[in-house]
Amino acid sequence: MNLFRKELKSGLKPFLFWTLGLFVFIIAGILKSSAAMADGQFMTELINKFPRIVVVAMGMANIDISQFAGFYAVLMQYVFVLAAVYAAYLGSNAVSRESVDKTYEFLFTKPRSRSYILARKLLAALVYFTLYACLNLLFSVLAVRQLALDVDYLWLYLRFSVAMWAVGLVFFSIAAMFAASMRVSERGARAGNLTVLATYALAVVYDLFEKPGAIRLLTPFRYFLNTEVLDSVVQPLYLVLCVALAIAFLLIAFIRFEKRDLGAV
Amino acid sequence: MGYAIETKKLTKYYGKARGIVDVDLAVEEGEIFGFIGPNGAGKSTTIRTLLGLIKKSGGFATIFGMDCEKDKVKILSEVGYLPGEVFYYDNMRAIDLLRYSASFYKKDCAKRIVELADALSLDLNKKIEDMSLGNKKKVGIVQGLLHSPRLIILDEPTSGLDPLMQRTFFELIQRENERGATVLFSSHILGEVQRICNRVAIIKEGRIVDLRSIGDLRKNSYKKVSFTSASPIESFSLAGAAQVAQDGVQTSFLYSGEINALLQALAGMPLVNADISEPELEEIFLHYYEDGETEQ
Amino acid sequence: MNVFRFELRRTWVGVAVWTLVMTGLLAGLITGALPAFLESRAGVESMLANFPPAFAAAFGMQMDNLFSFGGLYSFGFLYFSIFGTIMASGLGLNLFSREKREKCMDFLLTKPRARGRLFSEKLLAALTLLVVSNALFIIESLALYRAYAPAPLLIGHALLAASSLLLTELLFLSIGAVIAVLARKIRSVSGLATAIGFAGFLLSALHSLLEEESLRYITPFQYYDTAKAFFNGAFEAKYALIGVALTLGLMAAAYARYTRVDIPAL
Repeated sequence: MNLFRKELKSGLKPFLFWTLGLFVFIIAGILKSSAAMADGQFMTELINKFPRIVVVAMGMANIDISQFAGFYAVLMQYVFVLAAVYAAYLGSNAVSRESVDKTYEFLFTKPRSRSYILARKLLAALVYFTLYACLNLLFSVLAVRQLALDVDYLWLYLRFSVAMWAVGLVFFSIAAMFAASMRVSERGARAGNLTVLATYALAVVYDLFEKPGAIRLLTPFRYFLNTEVLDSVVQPLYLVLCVALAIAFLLIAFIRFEKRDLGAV
Repeated sequence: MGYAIETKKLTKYYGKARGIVDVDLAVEEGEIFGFIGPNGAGKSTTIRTLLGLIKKSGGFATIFGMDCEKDKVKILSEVGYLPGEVFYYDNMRAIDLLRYSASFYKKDCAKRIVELADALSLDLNKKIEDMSLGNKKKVGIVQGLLHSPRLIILDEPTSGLDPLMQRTFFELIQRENERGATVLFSSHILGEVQRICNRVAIIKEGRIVDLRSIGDLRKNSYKKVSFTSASPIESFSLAGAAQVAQDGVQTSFLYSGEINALLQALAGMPLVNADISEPELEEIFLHYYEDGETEQ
Repeated sequence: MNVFRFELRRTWVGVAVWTLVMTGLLAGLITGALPAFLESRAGVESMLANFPPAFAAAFGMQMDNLFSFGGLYSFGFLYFSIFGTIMASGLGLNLFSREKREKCMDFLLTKPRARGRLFSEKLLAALTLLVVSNALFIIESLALYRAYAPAPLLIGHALLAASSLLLTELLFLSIGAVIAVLARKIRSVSGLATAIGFAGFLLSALHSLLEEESLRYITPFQYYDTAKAFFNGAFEAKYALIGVALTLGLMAAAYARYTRVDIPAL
């Protein structure tokens, strides 16, 4: 477990850095929400009747920002992006940090299998990401308390936090897979990051269509639609899909990592 | 003839940490000058200050009479540098790197590259990242010599080279020296410095503690002697022996003096085994430390 | 100019791919979505008729701008900016941390070149790539504008709007350069570049969502406002000046650091 502890320690600083981003985004977003909502009342009424492409062009797909919940959903849409970039970083960093720092010889000549080491590294990273989702919940609660709303939205925050965790998990494992598959670790990191960018672009394209269909399956950013999360629970089907994808990608990551030649980059 | 390298009270502090203090060096043109000291003594700091990689905190340093900071670019076109550890760009063949290196100098180095690579039997078409440590080092050597520099600065250059390659390397350096190049050769291995240098400076904790010719050093040089005798020897003593340590049948000491006298003394003992070797650098330095303290 | 050529050779392919993707996306957006976008105006207008006249009038003022080539183009710009700034900050990070990452500072800095010259050649390589990339993007933008927008064409406005991407990219080049020079260690260029690009995007999103004017000072994507350029023919001077000052200031800081810093032994 000392390896696990060491990983936790080395991941703390980046975690705090990303937490700061999350904190600023949520606190600023929520505290300022009343102003935006006042404007939104009218706009939403109007916008709901607009053709979809116009709505997307105005950056207001799938939402109702006259309600706090609708506003919160938009905010979350962006927090998901933040979380996805962080998750991808965590995934590729866990796999290739030792190669980048040229300390891999030190670690991988210890009497432990590579999978043992990788598992602990990924687990430590996952702890941080899970914590990140929890903080999302916490910050939401704290910020909204300042607004003194009459409705309790706790379940809403929880649903979004779970969705965020699930989406992040997919990017985390994709990034880990790429990092484990490429000999040059910068290429692995690049592939992971490009996946985030490409799937986000796809999510925007998804919004543009009235009937996007199968595109949804290709972009984890749209596995949990704002409208669905607002209305009910997180779609279990997609939750399962996220976890299944993560398991599959991580499995590939472990297999490739066991087999590959380790070297500095 | 002026000095190739001259420093006066050259000082470098990293924040509050000591780098080098009041280093005075005067390397004459055409000599091979050794620069020895244990790790962390300040060899690299001195060299990096000379090369303009780090800024001095005080004193002054010139190379060929030019100021190391003001005339850095002019100086560097006359200098070849080989660092202790070599890293180069990824995804490049040796020849690409060497051509890139050559493109910084206003001369045609293509022929030299091939000559040097042949002398070191280096495959120029291999990717550098796929090379062994020794071969990377060879790329470094070619890179440092390809523009026929007037001053060659070597910072612990032999690590990673096998003994055969080391010999070739020293021959190369000596040939450059005969051509007229001055060489500054830093090392913590006394033997290799003795092998090719004319003079050596010894640096310790950031200060030059001694500067003498190799001839001098040889005269004063210590041998480390240890032997096993058939039966314990009572109170071993010999003129020129220092730091005598006895443990049963084991005896060891540092010896400085006529080697014949040593062998004659040893011949009179019931030896089972004997070993005469170069002392570890630390042991030599111990001698310098003691000297330094008594003088002060 | 060997460093310039060296850097150009090592980076042009990446920039070419980014450029290809961005010009492709632009073509896709305009050819794919513009006709439908413009057509939807009629529906919105008929719906507006049911609203109070004061509101309809206020909103109607914006209709011409919203339902135009410029309206859709400005919308797309937010997303092109993500791509462009990831590319540009990546370029800055990549070029100015290359020797640091590959541990060959000693190699480059013991060559007979002043550090200022080395920095300048690297910068020139980055600028060349960004300018060429954006020249293509701008030419494409103008061509699409001519082909799809109804007369009268305001080519000057469109040119300014299209070049806001270049200006934003230059700012992010400086950000990348300054991080590359200051950071003790760069583990992943693409990771940092992605984080920087998306950070710019998220700030921009937050700014639009909250409509909080003070946020705009820290929203680099909106220093050079594409929509304003398209419709008014000028950026807002205050923010554009901030952008230019930041670009130059950060690059100067990177230069100062690069030319002075001690290079530690490995």
